[in-house]
Amino acid sequence: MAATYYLISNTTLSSAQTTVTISSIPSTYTDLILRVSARNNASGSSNDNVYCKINNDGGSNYTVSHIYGYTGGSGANFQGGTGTTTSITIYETDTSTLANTFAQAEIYFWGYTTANSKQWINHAVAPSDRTGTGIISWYSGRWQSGAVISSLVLTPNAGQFITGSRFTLYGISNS
Amino acid sequence: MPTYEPIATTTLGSNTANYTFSSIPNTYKDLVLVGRCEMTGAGSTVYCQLNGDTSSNYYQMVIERQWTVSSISYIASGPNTGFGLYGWSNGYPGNNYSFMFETHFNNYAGSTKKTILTESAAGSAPSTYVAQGLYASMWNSTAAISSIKIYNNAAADLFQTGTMFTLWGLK
Repeated sequence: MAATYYLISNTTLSSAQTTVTISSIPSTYTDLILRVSARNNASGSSNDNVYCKINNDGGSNYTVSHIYGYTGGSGANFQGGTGTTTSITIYETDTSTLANTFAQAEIYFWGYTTANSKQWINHAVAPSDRTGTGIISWYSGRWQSGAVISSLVLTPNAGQFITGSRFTLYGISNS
Repeated sequence: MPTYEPIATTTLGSNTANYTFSSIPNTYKDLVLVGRCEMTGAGSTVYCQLNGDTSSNYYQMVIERQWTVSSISYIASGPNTGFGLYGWSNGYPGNNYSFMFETHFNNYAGSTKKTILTESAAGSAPSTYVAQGLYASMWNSTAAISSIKIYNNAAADLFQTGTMFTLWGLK
């Protein structure tokens, strides 16, 4: 295991930004893992979404299946299974969530250089002490494109990623 | 440059109530704890505590499906004295089961409160009972994580010989 995970890029923000782009992803690995630790300077639960577009594709080319739960909700929730979206969604904390916390997310991309549609799965959490907004999320989906994944563009629903937010991309080799 | 480095690993040589990784270096971005466990009993809930903190400083959100239950559950809890890695204590099919987990400690050496994400899966042989869950935990502390204790809430239920825990550091 130790010999198969490689750091491709790491971005830790030194100032607030509205967009983070990871570009020039080499095609020399088998799979990719993107790890995100993010917080936003906006407020309100609708600002907790972070949208990840592959190759900056904003078309309705992403199919998703989603299970999630959130503070104040009752039971698990389901979304998707049919239809498409325009990005992959993960989460971040914001000024309405617990202070001094960052959300955590991981997206695993299988076979990102193959000529087939690209499958991905992600887990994300915006932590909570149960007094503020929190969410736990489990997504899977497919990007309906035969293109090689060469860039990832991440944008918050509103506001900016704050200083200290981190975006790390790993390459995984099967040999 | 390989980025996963094993910090420590153990395979238990005897039945054990708990195991602690200590003196964790603060030189990585994140930590990943992997466990493959077999238990001597049934009905266990396996927890973690960090830096020996036994106070009610842990919160958790869980999505899980247990054994023969047909629906998926969402559970929020806290403050607790530890955070769960596995907790299918209801409706378990017997004591001949094992489970595995992978836990990510985000920015463990930083000065923010700690976000922790765990995937767990369990099975019971020779039956076909299985369960799986996603656990999101938060340690309400800004201290760097320097030790991790893994333990069971049922004192009579031990980690069996052969249980394996490995701690990885991510550069």
